[in-house]
Formats: sequence, C-alpha cells, structure tokens
Amino acid sequence: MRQLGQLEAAVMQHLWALGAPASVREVLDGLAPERPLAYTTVMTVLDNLHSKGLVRREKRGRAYAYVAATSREEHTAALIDDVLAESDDRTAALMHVVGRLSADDAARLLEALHERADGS
Amino acid sequence: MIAALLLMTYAVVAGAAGARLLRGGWSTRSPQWAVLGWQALSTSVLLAVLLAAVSLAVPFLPLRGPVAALIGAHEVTVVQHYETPLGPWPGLASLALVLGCAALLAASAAGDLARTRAVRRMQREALRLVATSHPEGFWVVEHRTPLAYCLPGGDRAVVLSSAALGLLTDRERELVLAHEHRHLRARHDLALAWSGALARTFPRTALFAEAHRRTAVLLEMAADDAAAVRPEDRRVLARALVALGTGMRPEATLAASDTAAVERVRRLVASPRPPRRGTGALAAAVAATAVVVPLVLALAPALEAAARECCAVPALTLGQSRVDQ
Repeated sequence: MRQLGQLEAAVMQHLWALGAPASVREVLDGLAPERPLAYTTVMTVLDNLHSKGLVRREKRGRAYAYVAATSREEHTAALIDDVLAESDDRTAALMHVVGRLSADDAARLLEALHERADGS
Repeated sequence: MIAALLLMTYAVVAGAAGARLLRGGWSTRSPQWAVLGWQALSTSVLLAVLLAAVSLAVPFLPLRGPVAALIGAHEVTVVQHYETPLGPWPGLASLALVLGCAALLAASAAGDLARTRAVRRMQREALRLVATSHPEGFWVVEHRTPLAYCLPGGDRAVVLSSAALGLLTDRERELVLAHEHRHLRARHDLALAWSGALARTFPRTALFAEAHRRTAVLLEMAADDAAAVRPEDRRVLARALVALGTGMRPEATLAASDTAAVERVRRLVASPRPPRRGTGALAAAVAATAVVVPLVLALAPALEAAARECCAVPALTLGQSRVDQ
C-alpha cells in the first residue's frame, strides 16, 4: 500500500506538470527515466486515482486520456483549510505549534521580550 | 450503602480539593506532572461515581459471589453490608445509570477515534501528493499562511508551510521542530484524547471541562520546556511562537487571542523558576493513590466484614453447637 501511495503521488505530480490530458503510455514514458514500471501498474494507479476522484478521464480513440481533476494549488488549499479548521473543540487529530495571537497581544509580548533581553 | 456514600463524598471532596491543588503555581513549573495530576483526578472521580452506583447494585447481582470470594467473606455478609433500606430499586436504577454512562463514554471515545483516524489519513494522503520532504525530517507545504503542526499516531509527521519556513530563523525552526517532536514522542495526543472524551461525554461536569482545557495548555508548556532547555532558547522560542501566532489568520487582526498562546509566551519570556525537587515523585505517588482510593472505598464495607468474620469464626468452633446460617 505504501508503494502504491508513492506511485500515486508521482503520477499526480507528472499530470500536474504536464497540464494536459495524457494516456497511460504517455504517463509511463514520462515516469520511465526514474522508475522501471510495467504498463499494467501505471494503468492500475490511474484507475485508482480515478475512483478516488483525483483524476478525470475521457476516451481518446481506444484508450483513455487522464487529466488531474483539481489543480495542485486547489489541493493544497483544501489541505490547509482542513488544518485551519481543526480546532480544540474536536479531537486532537493534529497539534498546532501555537494558537492565534492578536496583534495587540503580540506587540505587548514582544515588548516584554525586549525588556528581558536588555535587562538580563 | 456505606460504600456508595463514602464514594460520592470522596468524588465531591477530592474533585474540589484536587482541582484547587492543581491550579497552584507549581503546575506551570512542572507541567507534565500537572497533566498526570489532572488525568488521575478525572479518572479517580469518574471511577468513584461509577463504583458508587455499582456498589448499590451489588446485593442483587451475580457480583456478590465474586466480591465475597475476592475478600474471603460470606455472601450473606456482603449483601448485608451493601444493601440499602430502600430495597432493590436504587440498585437497579444505579446499575442502569452505570451501564448507560459506560456505553456513552465508549461510544464517544470510539467516535473520536474514528474521526481522528479519518482526519489523519486524509492529511497524510494529501501531504504525499502536494508536500515536499525537507532534509531535516519534516514536510513543507506551499502556502502563504504560516503554519506548523504535527500529525500524531503511527505514521507521524511534522509539517511546516513554506510561509512558516521563510518566517523562522534557523534556530527558531529547530526549536519549533523539537517542540513538535516532543508531542509525537511522548504521545501527548493520547492524554488529550482521554481528557477530551470525558469532557465531551459529560459536558456539564465542570471538573472534566477544566481538566481538558488545562491539559491542552500544560502539554504545550511541557513541549516548550523540552524544546527550549537553555534560558536563551526560551526567548528564541517565544519569538517564534509570536511570529507564527500572528501570522495564522492575517485577516482576523482584531480577533481575540488564544489565551493558551498568551499564557505560554508570557511564561517563556519570564525567568524560569525551577520546579521543587521531588515534585515528580510526589505527583506520581498522589496520582496512583487517587486512582486506587475509589477501589478501596468500594470494597471497604466488605473488607471490614471479612475482618470481623475471620476473628469471630474460631469462637464458634470451640465446642459450641454449629449454628446454621
């Protein structure tokens, strides 16, 4: 499962880099320099990504052409939104290093910091 | 009935006195021991209330057999010492209450666990797709909001946004990473999960709510201490926290601060007062006692009966006729 996850990531990176629909063969060729892969492996990965909703596909002749369903930026934004939404009320699925500080409080704290730095 | 009364009294008194103790100044000087204190106190009070209810039900359940066997008394004695003048109804009602509460707690905890797992799984998948690996052993996500967080659990990870990376100096970054790694290594998420489960299952119990709030802050302080051991590092970490804390939601400049964040930074800025020696040992001893006391109180009447019985028996067998019980 771990292996497939890394492969899925590599395929998505390639599709994002390409920016245009690609067939299984084209993705395979794109990844080939770094990894020796079988055609069926890449086909399986693209199929998995499709069932996860990460890629869309359209018929191109007899084969499919795959394209990323959302851009990398949109994906990242969704991730960050989830992270920001995790508040203390819910479970500690993740732990932020610090909560929010208002500009006023921050100014006062920094002042105190400088005083200590000078005084000590 | 004595057991139930003792246990409820203990729950109320220990709850109040324990919370008072834990609010003392020592708690921020030894935050990890204060966390243990809050966990032990909450667990002890919960145990006391549940055992109080169970003890009311002892006369009517198959429980009386094992309890009697456990302490070497007769079943009749056990019944005598646990029954109430009101007949079976308090026992049956309280048993229903215990089972209900236990089921609620179990369901709540299971729900929390499922949700936590789902969130972490989605996070990891997303990180695998969009994050890049930094040579110092954490993930970097391209984003203009400064963020630093960790994903506890089996597949642990520390994540910094590109904005956070740009904002922090090298030393600040090292301290922030050390803070997160402390959370991961010490499994602070488990302590938070327990205090959270209690607070959410029993929302009107002030003790559990306070315990959860304080546990969250104290765990952050414990991680701060683990990361910033040298006095000068405390100021560096304080600066890093302020930078990250103000950057988090730049549009909400008028929003109120997270009080825990303010408390932590103030604490790092102030001169550290070392904890008194022996705090840890004392805290551990008190915590262990707190968890054991409810069990002892629950068994107290039966133990007392057993003690009396074992002294009375020899007198009966000295040439006296056996009285059938």
